[in-house]
Amino acid sequence: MTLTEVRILSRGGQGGVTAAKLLASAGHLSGKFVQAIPKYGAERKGAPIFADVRISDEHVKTHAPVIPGNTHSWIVLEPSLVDTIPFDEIKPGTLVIINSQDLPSFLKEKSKLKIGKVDAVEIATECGLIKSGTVMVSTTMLGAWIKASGDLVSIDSLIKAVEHQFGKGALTEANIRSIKLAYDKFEFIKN
Amino acid sequence: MVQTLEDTNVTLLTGNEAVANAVRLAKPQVIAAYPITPQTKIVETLSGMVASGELDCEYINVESEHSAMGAAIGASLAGVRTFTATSSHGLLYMGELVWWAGLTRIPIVMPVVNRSLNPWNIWPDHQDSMSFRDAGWIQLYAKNNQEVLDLTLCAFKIAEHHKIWMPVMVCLDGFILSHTSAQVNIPTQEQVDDFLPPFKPLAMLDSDNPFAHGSLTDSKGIWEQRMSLIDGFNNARVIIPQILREFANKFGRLSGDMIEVTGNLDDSDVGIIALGTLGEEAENSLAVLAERGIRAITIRPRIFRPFPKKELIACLKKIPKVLIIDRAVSFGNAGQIAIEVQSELFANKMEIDLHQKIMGLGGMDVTYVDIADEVEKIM
Repeated sequence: MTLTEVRILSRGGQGGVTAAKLLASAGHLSGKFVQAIPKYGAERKGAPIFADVRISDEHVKTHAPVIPGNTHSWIVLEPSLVDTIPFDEIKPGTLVIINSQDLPSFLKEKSKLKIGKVDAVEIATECGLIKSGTVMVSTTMLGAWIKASGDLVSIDSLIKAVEHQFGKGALTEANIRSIKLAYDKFEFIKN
Repeated sequence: MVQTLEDTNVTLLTGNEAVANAVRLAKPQVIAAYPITPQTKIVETLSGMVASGELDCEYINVESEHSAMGAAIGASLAGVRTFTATSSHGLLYMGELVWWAGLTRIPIVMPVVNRSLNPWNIWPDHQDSMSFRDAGWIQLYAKNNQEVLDLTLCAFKIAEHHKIWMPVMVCLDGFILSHTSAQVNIPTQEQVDDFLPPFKPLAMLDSDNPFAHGSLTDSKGIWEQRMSLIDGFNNARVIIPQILREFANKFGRLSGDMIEVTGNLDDSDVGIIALGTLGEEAENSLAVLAERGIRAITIRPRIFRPFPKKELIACLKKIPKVLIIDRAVSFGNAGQIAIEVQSELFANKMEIDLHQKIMGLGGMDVTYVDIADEVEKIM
């Protein structure tokens, strides 16, 4: 069975939990079995949070949060959270994509990981995805992830998931544009 | 049965949304409820359905869980299908009337979104519902979001069967199910109508034929009531599998079994007993254990009250060793499932290599690897 486990790191208010649900929804629309698991706590704006997504060819029986050593990828919505990744637990080849212009220098030593970056703040800002002063980067980062994962779920299914979540309208159009831009602009870091 | 994606009625729902959809399809006439984390989304979704006209139902806003159950008891006695939902401290606050509904056999359906108790913790364990295992309520424990929906539909039919006629708790692990999105097949209204007939009152308050319900009762009356309740549970033991089987025939999910066994019961080294999501997590441990050369099976009671004694003993007769995982504690003794299993083993003069483990209290994560590790320790 092919099981893809993704952890999304974000700060409260950035849309990490919504991103998990959108990615699961995209997986669902791609014909996969999925789970979106938000880790609830004393959530508040700015606090570090994570959410997990499972995308599988079979019904998923596990209900626990993902085990870091089993993860396929980490999507980091806020660069200061990179150092919360348990690098000594994750396996070589794990995908880590970061919303950043500049990556922390220590990441350059992690040559066994597949590290990629996308300036999601710039893309989301360009698309007008700003709410109460916060740049909403979640859909942008999902667009980048789809490219990075080699289209593990289709970009069309993510767009459909966004339409389902937000309905038709300017907000949806802005999110779709940011997904497509991020998909085009995403790049892996060369070690 | 494993879910499939072929059915276009399959959609992504949280456990709470699965409950709300089951309730919408069951068409209760009265809902009285008070929100509490992690149950809130159930009553929020239902109140939205009532407000939009999607569900034709009297929705009673109350100021506490105590009042919610009071209103639910009154509505049920007035002769209508009645629903409420709660969790943790809400259940405790409701406690007096939970017993009232149980001991006087009021057929209310109430999901309990399992959450830890004092001191402050919002995450899952079974201490809340286990505190009411003796309260005269039937208790069902769901393993995933699909089973949440399926068991909620069954709960109405079980509660309202005239030979059972007692309240039912549908227990689902807080956050692990309530807030996690997963695929759920939502049946059509026609399918549900074919399974669940309209509410048919067995006894109801009627101003033309007045009688008293629940007034001061002497010991003789209490004795009759309690014996009747014991009989009711004995009936439930027989009728619940019939209802589950009917559901399985009509919907292709669940089965007539009070206990779900996964793995080869006739050829195994050890069985793992656990409720709810821990039961399905343990199913995932079987492959890990097989790699370690251990042939394990899972034994997951879907029903905890009435306790499925006969079915359990039939399983335990075939295995040499068992690990019982409890997500709650009867302080001063052990986990509740462990206590009950040991009691049945003694009653049946059976000896088995029995081990018990408390896991997952207060939302502590339990992975399938953790469970496999615990099993390996006892081999």
